[in-house]
Amino acid sequence: MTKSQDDTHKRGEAMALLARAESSLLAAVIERFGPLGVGDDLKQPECGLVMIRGRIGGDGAAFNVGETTVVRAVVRLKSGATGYGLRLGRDVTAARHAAILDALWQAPETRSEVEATVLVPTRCRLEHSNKAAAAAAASSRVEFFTMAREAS
Amino acid sequence: MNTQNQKRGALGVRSQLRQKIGRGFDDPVHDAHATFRAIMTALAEPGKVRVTPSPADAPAALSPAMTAIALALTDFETPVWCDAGPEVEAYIGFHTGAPMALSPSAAAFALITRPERAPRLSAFAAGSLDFPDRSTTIVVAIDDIATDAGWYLTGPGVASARRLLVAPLGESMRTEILANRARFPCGLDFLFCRDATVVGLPRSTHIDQKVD
Repeated sequence: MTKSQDDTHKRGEAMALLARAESSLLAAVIERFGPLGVGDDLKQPECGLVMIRGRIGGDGAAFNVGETTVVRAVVRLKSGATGYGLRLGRDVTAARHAAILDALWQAPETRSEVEATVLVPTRCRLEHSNKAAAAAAASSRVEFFTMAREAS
Repeated sequence: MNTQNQKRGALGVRSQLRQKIGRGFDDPVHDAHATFRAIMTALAEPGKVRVTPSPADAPAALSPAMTAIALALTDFETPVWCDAGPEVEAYIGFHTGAPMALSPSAAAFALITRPERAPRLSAFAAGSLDFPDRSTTIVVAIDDIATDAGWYLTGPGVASARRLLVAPLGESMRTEILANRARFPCGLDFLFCRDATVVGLPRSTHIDQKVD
């Protein structure tokens, strides 16, 4: 993997976590960073619908599952970094906060702080809740055995 | 490998361009509505000057009216042909998601900032008899709009005769605009823009150079 691909991949992970972070956490962290040099709201935070697409079994033909509500925002800091925020739901403030944090994550001098204050706790929380859900599902697991009918 | 390198190069340029991208409409919903209404009435009453909202942070190469039209009408399904350079392409791509048309004939909208140096209008899509709507809407930047000189317009949306002078246009574009009506129902629709004003000239309008 080249360096730029690696960076893109890491940023994707960071954005995914910012999309799932709790809005109260985002607000608290933004407060922590103090006065931010937000230059422009390139796209003001706005709410809309996106079509969710799916594939049965993960590899069938793509079909439209349905629409979901999302908020998005794009900000540019005075430093020139452009941050994108896209989250499920209607919390426009959180989308803007996520965008600011994405921009801060891109700057080498603030990346580690964003990692430590938002990304790591969110990653832990998600892992924990995923494990809990997996454990709850596993306790009621039933194995089905079927025999395929022979082709006639 | 080579294409990958090119891609990475393009990404670098793109991130540089992104640093210059300005804001879109200040009030996205209402400004887009107002722009749409200006365009609709401009085409409904050819030759009348309409005012569009002016996006405060429009790229330097586009007039406020052209920027407003691009922001209000284009989206990911409307390829745009544009002669205003990569900065404008990045701006439109960022705000509307519209792809750039690879050729004039593939464009749903053409943004022409230098009419004298534009390709021949016959290169743009004029629609077919089955689908006359599959044509290019030509948005042209001009320096002068006058409604008391120039062409005599008649046809749908014009009660008696209305006059329109748009300048400068290249000689070949002038000739092709005059010949546009003959192709009806195929043909091109024009939006002439200066500053924050727009004048429409749909394909249904008859243009005479002088009164009989």
